[in-house]
Amino acid sequence: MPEPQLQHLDMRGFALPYRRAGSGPTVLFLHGAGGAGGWTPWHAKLAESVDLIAPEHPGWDSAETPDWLDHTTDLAFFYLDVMDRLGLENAHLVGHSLGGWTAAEVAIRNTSRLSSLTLLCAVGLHADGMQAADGFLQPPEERVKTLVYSAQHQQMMLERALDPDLLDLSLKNSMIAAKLLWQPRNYNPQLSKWLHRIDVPTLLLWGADDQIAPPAIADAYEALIPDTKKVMIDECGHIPPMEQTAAFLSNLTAFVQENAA
Amino acid sequence: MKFFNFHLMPYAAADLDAIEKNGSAWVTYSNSNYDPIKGAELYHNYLDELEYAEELGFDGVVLNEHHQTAYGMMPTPGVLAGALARSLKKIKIAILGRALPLVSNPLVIAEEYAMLDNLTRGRFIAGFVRGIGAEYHAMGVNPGFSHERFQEAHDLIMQAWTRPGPFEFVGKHYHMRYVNPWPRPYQDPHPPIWVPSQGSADTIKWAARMGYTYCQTLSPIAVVAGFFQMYRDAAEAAGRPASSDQLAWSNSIYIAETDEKALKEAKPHLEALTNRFLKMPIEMLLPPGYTSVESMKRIRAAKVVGKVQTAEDLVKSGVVLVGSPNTVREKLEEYQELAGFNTSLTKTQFGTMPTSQARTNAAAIAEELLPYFRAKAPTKAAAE
Repeated sequence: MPEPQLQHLDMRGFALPYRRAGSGPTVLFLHGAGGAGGWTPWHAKLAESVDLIAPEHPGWDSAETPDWLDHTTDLAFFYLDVMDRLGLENAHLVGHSLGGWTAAEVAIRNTSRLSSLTLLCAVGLHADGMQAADGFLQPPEERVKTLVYSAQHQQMMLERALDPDLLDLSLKNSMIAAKLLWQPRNYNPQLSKWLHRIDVPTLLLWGADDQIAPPAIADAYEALIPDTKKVMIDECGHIPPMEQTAAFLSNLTAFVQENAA
Repeated sequence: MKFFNFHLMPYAAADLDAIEKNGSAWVTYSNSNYDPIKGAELYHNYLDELEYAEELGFDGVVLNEHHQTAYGMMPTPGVLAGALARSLKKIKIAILGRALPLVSNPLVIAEEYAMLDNLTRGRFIAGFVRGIGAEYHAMGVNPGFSHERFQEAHDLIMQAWTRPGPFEFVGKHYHMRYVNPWPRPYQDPHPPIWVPSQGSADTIKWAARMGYTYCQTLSPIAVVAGFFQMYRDAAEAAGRPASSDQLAWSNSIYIAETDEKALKEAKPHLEALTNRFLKMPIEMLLPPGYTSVESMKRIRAAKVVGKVQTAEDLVKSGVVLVGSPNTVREKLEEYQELAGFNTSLTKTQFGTMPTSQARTNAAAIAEELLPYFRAKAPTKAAAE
């Protein structure tokens, strides 16, 4: 399958960049704080069995930074608008890390366009006693060690972090990420009050060795969302699509097929 | 030229090796390393040094605000200014400053400063800063809103001081149903506003447009000269030409009988300040959003953050003045001409320097520099 072109969706004057490819159940994938990362082999693989929509969030990557984006809940309302604009029906909302938090904020507000929700190494909740790494204070050499599990992936992430060609992009992405994640650090204290409203099957797909969104957060989501299935991926840190691509894809596609309308 | 005695109030009893091992004296350096017996002693020594500054003929004293660090023990500078407000009888007291974006209600700063202005019967100077990047880690405040909050807090404080209350203030970050602080400032319409910065072009130009005194923190004199020129140009463009009194250079000065003796005595304390107390990783100094992507790239490219500097380097680049009375007088005169400032914010104690040595140094500065520079203003400045 050829790499899909970056398109733009006009959202009341804001141009949302996104890629869309494949057919089958629709999956809207909300990326994490590190950015969309373009169209990678796992995107292509996933698009072999689903209709994959992968936007670049407002403020990230090639997207403009809009004035209205101050909080993760702003991003959630924005994606409710996006789903309306695209006329999605029976969609499967998948969010990674900050995107997972955003997806949870979407789902507590309105699930009428959703068939399922997948929180992939999501932040958004604080779990008592959890020890999350502070990515804002770590130098790159330390950060990659808490981000991914294997030495090989740590080395790949470090090369990417130190690549001068990617510096502009990573600085841009870190600016908007800090705005949404800094305080309270990676969570919304109001979110836990409303997770009972999520009335679609929810997959909690997690790296067993995640130090950014420790598995205690998965447990907290599990305790508060009514219909959940929790899957821990072994030897996996915070980025399963990159680090454990096969396990990520098989668990996600199986869950999507199970809950396809 | 006016001389203010600027104190950072470092935790001089700190274990420098432990700071080195931790990588920084800020945010993550455990407060289990703070000994309150020694700390209390230091507070009193430092307040004594600032009271001595009045005896010696300094024009004022300067305090500032930093959080969760051995670099300076002044998270709440108003406490110390309050103590000095009664013991200093003539000279000015400046807080440079409170970091406006760090508070959730800037009216507490309007109130605190107005109280100090009343206590001193108008000898107070109000500093407004954003705080360095480390404060945003230490205080749980989002650096992405730092600029917005600074501007909005500034507007709220200035209105609180100049508009009859009560009135309502509605901003993006601050929402006050009643703005009506008692007391009002003693000075009419408000205390002088001073704005320190590490050299942000936005801050320099804004201070110039507003007519606020600009204070340049620790920088080589050639860089300082460039920033001060930027200020004069911006002031000129705004139609309110700057006087050299509006430009303040923050420095450290150490005087002994000879250049060699001065360097030898100042060296360990200057290096403790620069390479231990001030040291922090770039992630701590520049959290994302604190400054623009362009500024972050410029600072990263310069690779100056965390660079070890010897006392000799600091003297050579004109960050500090160290030497015999003649040497320091000549240098300061040269620097004053070069950069066109007429206010010197001078640290007489720095790093680990013991109080007896700091007092001897302050007395030497008072004797050798103050009378000489009393009536001396730079020839450049507004005209240029």
